[in-house]
Amino acid sequence: MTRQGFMDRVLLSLTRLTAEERENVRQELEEHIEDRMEVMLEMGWKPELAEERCLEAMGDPVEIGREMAKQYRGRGWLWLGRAAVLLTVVLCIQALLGVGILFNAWDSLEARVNPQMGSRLDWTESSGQVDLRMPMGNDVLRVFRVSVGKREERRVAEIAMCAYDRWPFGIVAYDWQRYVEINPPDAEAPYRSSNGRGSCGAEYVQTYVELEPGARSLVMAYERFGESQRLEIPLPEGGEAP
Amino acid sequence: MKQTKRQVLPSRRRRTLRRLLIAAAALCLVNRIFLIGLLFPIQAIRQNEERTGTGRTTVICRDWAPELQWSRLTYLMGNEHVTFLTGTYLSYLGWLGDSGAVLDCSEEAALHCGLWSINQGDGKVLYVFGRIDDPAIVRLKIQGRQTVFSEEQTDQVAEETYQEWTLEQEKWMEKDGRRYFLMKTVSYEKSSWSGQDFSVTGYNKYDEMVAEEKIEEGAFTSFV
Repeated sequence: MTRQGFMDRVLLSLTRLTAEERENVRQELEEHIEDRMEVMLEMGWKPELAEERCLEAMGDPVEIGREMAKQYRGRGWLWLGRAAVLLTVVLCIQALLGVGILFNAWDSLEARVNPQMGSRLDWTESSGQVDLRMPMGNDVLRVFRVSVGKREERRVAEIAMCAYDRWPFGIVAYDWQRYVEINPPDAEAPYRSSNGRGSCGAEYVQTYVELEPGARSLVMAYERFGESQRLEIPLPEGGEAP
Repeated sequence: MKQTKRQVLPSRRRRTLRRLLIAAAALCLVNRIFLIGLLFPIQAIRQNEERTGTGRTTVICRDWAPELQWSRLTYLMGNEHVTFLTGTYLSYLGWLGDSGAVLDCSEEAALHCGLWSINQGDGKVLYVFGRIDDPAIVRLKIQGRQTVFSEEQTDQVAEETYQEWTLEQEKWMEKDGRRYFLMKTVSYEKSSWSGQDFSVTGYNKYDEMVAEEKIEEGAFTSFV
């Protein structure tokens, strides 16, 4: 019997093994035969004869195959492993399809580090960067700029704010603006309007509140689902009326 | 000639555990960073909680709506301050959620009620849901208006019908000492329900009206 014939007969009885496992068995047997042949060649045997004797000494190839197959038990593990590989592949495809969602995470990070939104006042009397944060459920509402100026012929305060989830990759609640009110302390603003933009990661809103003469601060209140929050927003000083 | 030393193949158990670990890491990454690849419907519901800002709620009941989509599930969720009707369905990105309708129950009222109308293909499902805070209420009557459109001209109203449903307290659900109701109706007509014309009336055991609430919180969802 040739070495190839011997190998083929051993591997024939290893039908329940994976290709990788079969290759491992083949390599193990090859190594074993080579070790034996090396000894016999050192003893002065001719290579052809040494190989023949080696294969004879190994025993019945079918029996060897059966014995080696016993080392590879546990088909449940095999299928579980395959399921894990399949799940990983599916998840990688989903991640590729959902790569655009990462822009939301970028928005969320930007909102906590460097929020940006252009002013829409017709004329700015005074403006100042602030960093006032208020918890709002699982989200955080941040006021990052307060300006005083003119809009639609009214003297208003422009409150630039953004909301983001506490978890940088989380989702911000979509309709929080409905539950946030900004008014002068102990009074109702005579006029309010707002504009905004945003994504699932962060939402930006600019609210305009008409100011009474001498107003120094505004109060922002959030009330929803049994939660109540208040935040005082000081108005920037300086500037001159147009 | 001696061959190069072969690498020892790890056992099946060891290889599987390694693959499971990689899959778990990928799942965690895709779930938390990409917000997709959700394996269980309740994960999508948790995401809906985030989207609507309700905070943590518990499942009161679950409804399967195969009239819309074979995998569509509707969940009635609630906590002390919120009653939340929300949904989820299976897609190629895993379980995805759609927000639904949320009721703020933090203000005292005998009844809190809302509706959610979902259109998909020919199927149309209307849910009316809510929380009954007045213990005297033992029966609910839901009234609503349905507009049926002409088969030929879809924008032409063929008829308007007022419908009425009665829900006895045996059909209500109780969770953490609070009573909830969920009414579902399915239609295959070319019609729509008007959110402005729905009301829920609560009656006591003497059949006297205890509370009447006009539904103000509603959501209308359409899938192509």
